[in-house]
Amino acid sequence: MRLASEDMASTLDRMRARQIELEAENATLRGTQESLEIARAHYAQLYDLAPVGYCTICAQGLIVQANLAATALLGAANQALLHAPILQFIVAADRDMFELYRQRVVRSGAAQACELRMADVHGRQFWAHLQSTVAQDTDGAPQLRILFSDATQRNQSEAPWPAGPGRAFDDPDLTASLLRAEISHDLRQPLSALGIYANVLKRHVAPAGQPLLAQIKNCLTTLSELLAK
Amino acid sequence: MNATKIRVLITDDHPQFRRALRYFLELDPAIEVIGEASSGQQACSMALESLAHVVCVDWRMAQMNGIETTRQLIAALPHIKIIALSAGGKAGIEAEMLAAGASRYIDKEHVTDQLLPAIHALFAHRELMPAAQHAGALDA
Repeated sequence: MRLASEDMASTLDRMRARQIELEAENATLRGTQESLEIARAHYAQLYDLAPVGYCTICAQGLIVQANLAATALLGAANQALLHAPILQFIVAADRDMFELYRQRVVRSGAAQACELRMADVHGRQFWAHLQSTVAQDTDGAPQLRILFSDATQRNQSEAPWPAGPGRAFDDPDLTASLLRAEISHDLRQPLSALGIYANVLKRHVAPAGQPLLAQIKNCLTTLSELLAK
Repeated sequence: MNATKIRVLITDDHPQFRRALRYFLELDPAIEVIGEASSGQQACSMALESLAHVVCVDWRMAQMNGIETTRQLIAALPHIKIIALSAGGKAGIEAEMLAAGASRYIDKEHVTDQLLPAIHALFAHRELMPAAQHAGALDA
């Protein structure tokens, strides 16, 4: 019996010691959590109060996060911006530029800059300087983090408001790609129309004329392949 | 007999392609091309006025692109069926158009092979779609 009570006392001592250890660990964890919360609040404040606009867009091009400067630049409340397509805030003439820019950033994985025209919810247009990087959401889906600021004053002091599309900085090929895409698009439209007419014509042309029609279609295919390069 | 025809609206900013597509679609006696829109905004107002069953929407348009046009058409007319068209499809366009609400995506090169079957299939199955009662009302 004495042995049993000694065992019990020893077990109690061990349990008390463990309790002290756990309390110390708990205090450390609480301290770490408090530090994390302070750091998170600090960075959230830095994010929200940053003098430049920050926003995150998902793979579908919808805004999933925006800071106060972004809401000010775009003239909308934060809630109104969430899930709105970013293209809604990009001037129509520069949307292709943005799409190409977005694809370039995602493909390269590196931060890249460009300037294009944006418009707030009231229709006020401004030159925006964009710097974007690729990120991932909590599920691993790709996102684009965009830092943007109003560059209108600088652009207007350099030259009058240009009629053409925006411009890329870090990737000099981007503007050239845009031009190539424009030319390719414009050439493809009559080519697609010709393709339709050639296919319809096939039903009406006599057998003797079919080889000639086949040659026309071959030429169309070749042209189409050239444009795709 | 018009009530049984499939009402199709063409939306493309290139007039030559619109004309060719109209010519091709009108060869099908079951289809009535109810109009040609040269922009997304025009497509939205024409689709509302004409009660189109199917709208062919080009991805790349100057003012409002195909993605926004599709979103706005679906928001205004949830029953409507959108067929997205694109010349020389770039990676991601198909997914974006389908995510915006398009039912099909067809490269313009394959229009003569794929467009008519797609229109007929969408029209034939419209009663299985969420807003079938609306589509049915259009035929009444």
